Amino acid sequence: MSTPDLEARLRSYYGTVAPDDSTRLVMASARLLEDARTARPSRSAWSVLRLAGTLAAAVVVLAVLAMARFGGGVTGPAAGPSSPGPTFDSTTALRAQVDTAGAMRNGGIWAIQGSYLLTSMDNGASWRAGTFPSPIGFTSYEQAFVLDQDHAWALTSDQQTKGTQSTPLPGTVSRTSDGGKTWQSAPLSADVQCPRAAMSFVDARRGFLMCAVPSTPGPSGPLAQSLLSATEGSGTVLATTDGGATWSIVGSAQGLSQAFTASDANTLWSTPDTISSELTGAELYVSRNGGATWSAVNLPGLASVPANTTVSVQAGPVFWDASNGAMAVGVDQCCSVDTIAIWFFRTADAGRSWSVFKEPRPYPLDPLLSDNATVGRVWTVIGVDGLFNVLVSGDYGATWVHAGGAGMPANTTFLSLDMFDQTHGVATVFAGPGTRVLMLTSDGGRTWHPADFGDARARLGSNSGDATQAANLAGNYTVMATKAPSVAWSMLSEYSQRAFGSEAAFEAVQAALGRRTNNSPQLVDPPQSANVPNLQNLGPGPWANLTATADITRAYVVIVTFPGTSEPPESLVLAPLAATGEWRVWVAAAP
Amino acid sequence: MIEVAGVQPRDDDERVVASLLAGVPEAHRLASWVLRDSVGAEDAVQEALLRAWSKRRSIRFELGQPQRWFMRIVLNVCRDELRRRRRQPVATTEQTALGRTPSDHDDLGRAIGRLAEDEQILLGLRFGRDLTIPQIALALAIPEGTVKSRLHHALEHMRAELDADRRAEESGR
Repeated sequence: MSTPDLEARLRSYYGTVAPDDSTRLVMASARLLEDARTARPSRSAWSVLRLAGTLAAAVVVLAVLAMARFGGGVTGPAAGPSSPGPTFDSTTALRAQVDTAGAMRNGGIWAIQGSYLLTSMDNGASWRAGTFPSPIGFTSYEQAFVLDQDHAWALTSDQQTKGTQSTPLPGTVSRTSDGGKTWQSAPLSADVQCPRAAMSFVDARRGFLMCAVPSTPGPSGPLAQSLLSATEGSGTVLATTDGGATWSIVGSAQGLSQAFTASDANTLWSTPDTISSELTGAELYVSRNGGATWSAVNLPGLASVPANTTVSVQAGPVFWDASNGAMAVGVDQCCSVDTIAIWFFRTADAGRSWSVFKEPRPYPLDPLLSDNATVGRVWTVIGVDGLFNVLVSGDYGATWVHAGGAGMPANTTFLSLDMFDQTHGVATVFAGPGTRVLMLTSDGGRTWHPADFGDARARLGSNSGDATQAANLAGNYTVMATKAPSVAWSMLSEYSQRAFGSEAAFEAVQAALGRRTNNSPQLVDPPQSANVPNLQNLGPGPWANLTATADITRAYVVIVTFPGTSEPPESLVLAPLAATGEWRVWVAAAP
Repeated sequence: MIEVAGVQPRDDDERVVASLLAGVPEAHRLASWVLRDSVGAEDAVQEALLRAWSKRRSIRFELGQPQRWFMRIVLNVCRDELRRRRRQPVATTEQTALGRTPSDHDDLGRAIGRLAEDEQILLGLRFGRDLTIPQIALALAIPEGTVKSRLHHALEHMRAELDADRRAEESGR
């Protein structure tokens, strides 16, 4: 048999092996992963540690420890994947670490770094610092919405499960109108509970909060899944007209998710999650009466895709003013490489009509990888393999260019990306485990550099005469600072030390917080050796066993999280040596 | 600010989950053509998901390319399954899985099943997934020249297997 004949027979044969029903498999996989996520038996071993005294809820970001632990992960990455140009500066990047960041509708940039809110109105050339109100620093389970350099809101969960599950509501909404100098807080009604939440404000007074319950797939088992047994997601909308002081429920509907934005005081948008979309066929919902009622939007072209096509929202909805918005939808007409594409939808008339731009694929594509997309006020971005290879379009798909990416850390991906105009953009990227870095571009994405916050944080600290502000700044470290100021000082991150100015200033802040520190946490249930199976020493010293060498009655337990990494929370025990009283830190290795 | 892929992940685990789930359809297609068994492919994908999930902490640097990494795991799971099938040569699952009756393709199925695991993967990618040589090289992270030579050898081995089957059939008549 000749080679062409054999190849023809093989193609014919493989044509009989046609995959089917990936939707069902996706749903089964979602359930499988959800089961894998929730089955965390190792966490129970730490319950005693976690519940110890008033420290039970303390989730402290020990930036300096994270740096000590992961600092090596940031050093040495080469330049971005392909382009000549600047190389990634890991030293500078360490100072550009953020918990989260984003773009304001007015073109500004905001970032949250621990207890700081940082804003820039000149594409990152200069920064202004304020405080961020969470007493334990920003965690992944909090929400922030920054309208402009003065007005911002923070949603903080009241749940005591930080680091283990995402349950933002019931919670507290804090607001500032002076760039973070002062904050006011208002609890949301305990009647409002949901596993996902997102805020959107249209001006300083009028805003909305989407309280969303995700869809659920059917029961486990690869063959037991079907859309018939899945449930659609839903959302409840809360509104405020007094800047977040009071909130009221205005409506609810099926299909809504936390992918949500308000384009004006009456018009709200939300896209369903994948399962909800599969159940109903809708890809976008709109409310034109402030969230009271919702209806599906008929996006052009989607109604006529073949029956076996998988359609899923890729990005958005995004509105940068009342009229102009965009979103992206993945359209996968099973099962050829050539029929997988992203469709971009854009409106310029407040969503009354939409134009569709289909991804033309003018670039080499790794056929085993699906695309991701982001949409923004000016540019559309397509990335292959988690945005590893980034292409941008300034005209929603008519033309595309490679973004380059020189200056980015190697083998990284964008956590978020937005372009303000043809040249300026902002992105958050992983620069190694535990390091989420804010990167900026001023040449359309060809080259990137870490943000430089300058002395904004230090100026805030030195100017701080406000007790609340000082409390916010020190809040992260109160637990550690209580009994051993020098130890705590050495643990502060570089930026926090700069913020306080000196160790003496730091101690003065602690004194100002005397009421809090005098109410010092005690270890109600001393950690037993069974609960601390693998102790590792941190720092020099002959001690090898916490319970044998430390004065447990004076010990602290601190749960450390590592934002920007999949590292699990880590248990630290701070205790003085029984023999000398010298304070030491034990790190309980993850089981 | 727009979050990647519109999933707006709230923590890193969610980001991993979103990336993995986004890759499931392609993973299933890939596994189906490699294993020539849609049901077995579903099992392979779910096994790969669990492996990926259990390893998510140890692949920090690969998080930058989560789907590429996931597809590699899928192929590894498929390779393990093909190896298992070679060690335990039972009646091929494809007939029951696909509900087919014996056809003139069955000699191909048997011959493919006797090839080395990597050759089976290669044929699945080339003639099932319909990838080009450069695409296969990218998928397997091997040079294009290696793909060409391995493909050549795989076809030669296929021809030899088919010839052996034919001779055995003729001698049995």
